[in-house]
Amino acid sequence: MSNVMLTLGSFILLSTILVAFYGNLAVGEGTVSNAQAGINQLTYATTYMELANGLSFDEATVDSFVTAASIDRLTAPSNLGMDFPALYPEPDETGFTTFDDIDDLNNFTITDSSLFGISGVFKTIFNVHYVDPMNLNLYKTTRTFVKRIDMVVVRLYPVSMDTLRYSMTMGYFHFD
Amino acid sequence: MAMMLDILISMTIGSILLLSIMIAGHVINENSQLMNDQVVVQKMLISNAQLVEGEFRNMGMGVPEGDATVLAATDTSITFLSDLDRDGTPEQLKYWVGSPGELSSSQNDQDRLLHRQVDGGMVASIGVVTRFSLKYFSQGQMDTLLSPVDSADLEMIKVVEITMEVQNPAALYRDKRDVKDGERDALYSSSLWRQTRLASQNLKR
Repeated sequence: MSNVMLTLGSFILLSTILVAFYGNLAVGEGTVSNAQAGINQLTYATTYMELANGLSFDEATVDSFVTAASIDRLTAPSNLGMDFPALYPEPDETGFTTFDDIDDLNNFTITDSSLFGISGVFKTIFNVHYVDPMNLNLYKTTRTFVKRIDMVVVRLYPVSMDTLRYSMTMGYFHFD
Repeated sequence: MAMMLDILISMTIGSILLLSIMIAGHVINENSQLMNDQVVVQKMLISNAQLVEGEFRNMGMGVPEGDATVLAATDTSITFLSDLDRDGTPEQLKYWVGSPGELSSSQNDQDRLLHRQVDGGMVASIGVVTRFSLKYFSQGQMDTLLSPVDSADLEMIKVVEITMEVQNPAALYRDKRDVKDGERDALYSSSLWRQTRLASQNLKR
């Protein structure tokens, strides 16, 4: 009976070691997986920022100029967001395919599953604010000629511990 | 009789212990190699991406407004203009992915060289990839342009999506009994990078 007890004891000891070891392996794999998620989060961020760079500053500047004297023509801070329904004959703004200015991105959320099974499902949340041209960290409740896009990219599945935050500012200017 | 039973039980438990150790050894070996490869692959991918990203980011720089930025576009190659040396004259850059035969010496049968050429000069191999695919869109990703893009449609390219995958060149061979039909006979760590770039930096303001 003592042999059985001794063997059982060693079995328990080995099991404990194995569980700890597999746990360490899982942590290592999690780190590598999060690193891959970080790469993808960064590519999503730069992709959306690049697409945002291709948009106009404001609905009012899509096909006309705005000067300091006519700054009230810019979208009101409380109305930043997609135009849905849009004024005829423009299409309703529902995504990057129909957005024409950067503040359409305000409160916009996009979930991309195209990398499902490869590196996961990613969600990006956008927010747009007017900011003080002299202090880009200061949100303004009045119109200015500088807007800031804040973006948060997370991996929904498999859940990543890391969240990527990315900001970009766009200023409006034109040459007379 | 009790002693025999004692020995039998001990032997059984001992066998289970031995089996657990052997399985654990196998798993540890495979996982540690895969994780190490994964880190190497991610470093390779980042290195490639940094090279590609810098120049794709400046695509169309110095190109007069209204002129075509992309001169040729297929799903594995692209030729575009960018003023690399800031002298006011855009250079012609070509990126393309070679055939797997170029790297037949490596264990991975899918890896290939990524090539770069400036103004028809010397061809430089700037990285090793297993996938380098390009998609082209008109403004705002509204329309996907079919590849290869017809020369008459090149001016419509406003957005370029680049997908790059890197796998490690060294294989972790699998037991033949574990390989199912259609599967590769070895395990390769893989890392993917996908990014969208504007074909011109002056589309709208």
